Amino acid sequence: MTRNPMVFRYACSLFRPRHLAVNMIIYAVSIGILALFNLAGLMHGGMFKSVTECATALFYELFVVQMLILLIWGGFNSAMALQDERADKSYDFFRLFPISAADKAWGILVGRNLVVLLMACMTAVLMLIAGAVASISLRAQALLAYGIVGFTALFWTVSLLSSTRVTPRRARMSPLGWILVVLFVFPWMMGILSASVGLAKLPEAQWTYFGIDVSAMALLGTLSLYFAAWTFTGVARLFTIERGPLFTPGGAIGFAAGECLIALGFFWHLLPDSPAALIGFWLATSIFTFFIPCGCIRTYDMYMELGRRLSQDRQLALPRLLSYASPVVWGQVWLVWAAFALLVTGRSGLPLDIATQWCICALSFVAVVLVILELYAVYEGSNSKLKFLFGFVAVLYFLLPLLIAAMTASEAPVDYSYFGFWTRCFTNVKQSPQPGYSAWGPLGMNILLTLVGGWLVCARYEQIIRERGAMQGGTMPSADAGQRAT
Amino acid sequence: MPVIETSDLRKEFGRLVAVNNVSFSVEAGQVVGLIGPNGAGKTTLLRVLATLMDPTDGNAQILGHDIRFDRLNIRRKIGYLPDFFNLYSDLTLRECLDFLARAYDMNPFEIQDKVEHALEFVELVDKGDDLVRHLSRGMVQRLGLAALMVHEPDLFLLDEPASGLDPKARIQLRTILSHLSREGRTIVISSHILTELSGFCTHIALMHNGRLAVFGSVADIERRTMIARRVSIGLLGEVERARKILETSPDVHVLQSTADGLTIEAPGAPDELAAINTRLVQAGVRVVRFCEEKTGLEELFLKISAQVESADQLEKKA
Repeated sequence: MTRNPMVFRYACSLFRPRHLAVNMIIYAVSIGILALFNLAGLMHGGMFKSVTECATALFYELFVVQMLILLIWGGFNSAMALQDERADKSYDFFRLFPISAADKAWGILVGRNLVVLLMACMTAVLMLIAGAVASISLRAQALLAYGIVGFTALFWTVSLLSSTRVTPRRARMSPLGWILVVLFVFPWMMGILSASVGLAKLPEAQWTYFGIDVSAMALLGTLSLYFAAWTFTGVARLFTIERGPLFTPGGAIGFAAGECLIALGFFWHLLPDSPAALIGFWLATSIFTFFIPCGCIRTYDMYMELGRRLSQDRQLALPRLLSYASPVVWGQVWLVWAAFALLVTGRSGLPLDIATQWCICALSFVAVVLVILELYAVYEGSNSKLKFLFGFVAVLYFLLPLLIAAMTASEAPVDYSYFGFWTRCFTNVKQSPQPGYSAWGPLGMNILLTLVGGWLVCARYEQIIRERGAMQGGTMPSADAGQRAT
Repeated sequence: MPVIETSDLRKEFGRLVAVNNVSFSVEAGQVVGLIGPNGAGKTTLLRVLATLMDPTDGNAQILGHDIRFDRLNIRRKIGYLPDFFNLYSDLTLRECLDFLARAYDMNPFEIQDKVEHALEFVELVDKGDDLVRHLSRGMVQRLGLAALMVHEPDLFLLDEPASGLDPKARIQLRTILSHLSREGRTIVISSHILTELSGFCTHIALMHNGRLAVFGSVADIERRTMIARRVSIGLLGEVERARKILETSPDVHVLQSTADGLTIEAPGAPDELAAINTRLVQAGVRVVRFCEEKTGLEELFLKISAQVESADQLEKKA
């Protein structure tokens, strides 16, 4: 770790005595005040009946302090890493350092958080002392520590990942960054809260996972570390291929499979004879899977470069471009989801034919959204404002059936909305002993929309190949070409 | 082995062709001035060569390494100075150079010496313990060069290194670049301020609309673009008579006439210039100075640009 030049770079700045002194004074005073309040509560306020009670309270207060230091401060430091490089105009130097992408990512995460780590170590020592006085078992302390390590790894890597996606013009964290944080981090935090009535009961909280009772903290910590490893790999990939897709095709499929498997663990014991749990599993996993295609989308520029290579042979160009296109990977990702969705159907007791029909209908909703996404990707080059139009279309697709239902006071249009479809599936399996809601209507509409969108996408693919062929003939070099580049 | 060898190098941004099938080769020790108007593709070419951008097509090798597949090795051996840059503002100059030396995996026992040498070279030793944020723009630019020197790259790629500098800082920068050039370093330096480059460039690469319009040694390009040489003639009186003698020759054009001499433009061959001198002397004109004025880079650039523009127009008409 000390050989990593990035760590050295941050150590020079962060451990400058005058900087470190300020941080340490703030930390010491904050901890001192915390201790003082507890002591006052013990000696005068009658808040604590014994030293053990006071130490227990202090232990968990320090635990919260530890979370704030590591998650909020550390997460912020990681999220600002590349923004600061860009603001400093040193980003090109950073990119050119002949060290591996993983070393750069590791160097940033550790280096930028050296003071955070130092304070976390000091807090950990204080927690150990308070824990010993409060007679909190070492197992409980180890579980809490393990959980914090997992959350920290996830928070920091997701923050750094969001930092890689921010353009220089945007100073603050990107919406994508927030989506990632909310998607991958928030559920775990909610999980902790729901798993614990109070902080003191946190180490004892148990969850049933694949039918086995396991410690919630251990499970959350492990899962956080698992996703942190994925995120770290993604960061390293984006450090290597800037503006490239987050996932390789194989990575996207692997991530989808892992995510479905992990979610299955939570639903496994609920599934027997419970079609509602099955629908819950489908919905939960499909929401996560929805975001994977965003991480492996080919942009218009990528298609243009691809088209150049393929346009040599006009006959085979379109089929070959189709085989490389984003929807191929997206289709594979959703096939993984469908495989998981159907494999566990038998356990839930929902008839397979109904499950298959609902599953296909769910996929058809996804297909429409993905076609809109691909339309945006391939037409983006002709008009940069198209994202607003396609965003509007997507929102309309989700909400219009609900609005029509509200206006006409009829329930039928609700089925044609993604949310309405899931609601109908839920209510159907809950209310009817013999579920049999027919989803042919929305399925037909979605197939029609997908075909229209797909036709537009294919037309654009052909146009790209034609344009590329023309460019190779040298007819299209632009006079102001360099200006955008520089 | 050439330091840079490109073949049909191309970089596109969607429909825009920023670098259009550029092929050239740079040998060790050459100082190549990459010139061209704004938007010609100079920065993109340098960024592709520095492995900061992938080329869309074509090949390029830097010191024998492919820019697509051997980036780490190239990055170890080059020093790239972007057009707008800064260095770590929260570090002192010494810390900053020390960090860069470590990033380039220099021998820890040599780092301190290298840092001091680089600071001496750019005359910033006395500022060594100041924070980078306290430096002026010119000093940052010099620090940037020092940052490149620390790991002793085999190739310097400098993108508009004097942009935004005041005249004094520009002169200091030129002195440093001249030093580097004399040390036999291979340098590719882009600029549209051509006076920056004159004096120490051995080769010129002119870019126009993404294409490499001209590439060659300065002398060679001067020869190729030379229509007429400009000669300054110092006279002891009889300026008007000398003018009349010269104007009898159809190839000679008098550009300027002053009290003590003339400036003429005459055909390029040296023996023809010698003949003009002989004619004046034989006619009894007292010549005290007869010297050819070197064509400045700016003039050369304008000449080449005009030739490229007319070739482009001919091509379009065709």
